[in-house]
Amino acid sequence: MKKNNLMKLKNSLIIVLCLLLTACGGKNKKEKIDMNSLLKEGQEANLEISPESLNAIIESIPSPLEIAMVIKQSGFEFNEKMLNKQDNAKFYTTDQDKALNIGVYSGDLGYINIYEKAYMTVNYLTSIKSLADDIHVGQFFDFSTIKRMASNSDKMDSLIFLTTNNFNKMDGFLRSQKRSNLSILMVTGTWTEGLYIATQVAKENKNKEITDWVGYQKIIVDQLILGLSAYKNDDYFQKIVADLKGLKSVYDGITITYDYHEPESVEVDGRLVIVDKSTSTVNISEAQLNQIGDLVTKMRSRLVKNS
Amino acid sequence: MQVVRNIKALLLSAFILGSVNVYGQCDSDMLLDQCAHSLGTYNYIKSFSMKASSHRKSNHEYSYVFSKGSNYLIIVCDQNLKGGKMIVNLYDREHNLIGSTFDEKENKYYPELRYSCETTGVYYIKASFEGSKGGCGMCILGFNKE
Repeated sequence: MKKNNLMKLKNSLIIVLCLLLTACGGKNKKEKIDMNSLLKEGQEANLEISPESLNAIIESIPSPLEIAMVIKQSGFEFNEKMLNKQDNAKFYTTDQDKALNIGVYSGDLGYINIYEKAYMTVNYLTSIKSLADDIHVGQFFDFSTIKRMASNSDKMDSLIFLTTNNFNKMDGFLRSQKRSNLSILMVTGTWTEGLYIATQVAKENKNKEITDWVGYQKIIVDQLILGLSAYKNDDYFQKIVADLKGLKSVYDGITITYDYHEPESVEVDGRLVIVDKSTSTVNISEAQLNQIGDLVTKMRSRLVKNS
Repeated sequence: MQVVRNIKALLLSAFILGSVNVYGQCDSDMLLDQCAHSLGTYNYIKSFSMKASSHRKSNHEYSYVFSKGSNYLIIVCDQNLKGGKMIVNLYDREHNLIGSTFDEKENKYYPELRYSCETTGVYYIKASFEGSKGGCGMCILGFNKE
């Protein structure tokens, strides 16, 4: 009897050991997501989007620094009036409003930092941190370091790095805590603010690069609609999806064409440099640009509660 | 008494094997601190962490929308251990290979990949470790418009 019990215990331990070996290896697999296929499948009604697909969508949304750089390099002056007023933060009472407007203010911060308006950085970060604290993601801000960098104009690169890293950490933390609903709202806020700023600049100044950039956001609109649809039973998300579908109706008339050529690789000073020989072309009219500007202005006003 | 010793040995083996599979210290903050200086004049966008155990083939792939007219920098940041070097491949929206930080012909590893983009679209950054071995690393993505 004693011998039987010991045999059973030995066998149980062997099973536990085998489970440990297989469990630890399995966690490293990451599903390969093809965005084109995902968007095609997304057109099916009632498609359930997986957490991995949602992560892929959130990760692929471009940084607001990129459009800010396009605007600055096109020679346009900094315009503080376009930015979301810090006072509006008092209107953000729900977690969803807070998350979305962390994104909006982060979009503004990208614009502020690219234009090296360091005197505004701390104020906008204060608004972001306050909202972030409310949704329990404020722990990533090192204000003493940020203030020190903001007071030194030579430290703009480091300031951009630090503030971008803060945003990424908030986003990563939310997703690790299974709060991707707030994460996708944050990136929606950032993207909306970037599109709003770009269309405001384009309204006053005809500029092909900015206009084309607006046209290329067709790619992002489809991704955001799909990602936000993961929460289609939530009224807050439904309203944003409705706004984005309004934008999509204009973007459906905008075409992007691709001409593929093999890229060229060279080694320069021990570094691999690849030159893209393909091109993409976007066909967007002034009327479409204006329509997008009007729609995103309306959407953004509702989201930032700018009455 | 022999049985008790056997059980203890089994438990100890299970513990050691479980710990080894985590691949030691794979600290993304430490890797970012270690390699971020390589950004130079590029603005930091984001970083993607990769970790794989030795007995499983790694398949980390991330997507990001690159914009026409921008230059992108992908820094390969790994623990630089022999047999565990990270390889990063960049693919376009149709999953055509644009470039790799490992040159098979020359058996050479590049520490970074610079890409001048003329085609706006979704791009895929895929990382693996040499010889399908385990490893710990990070891709750091930056951009500029010079």
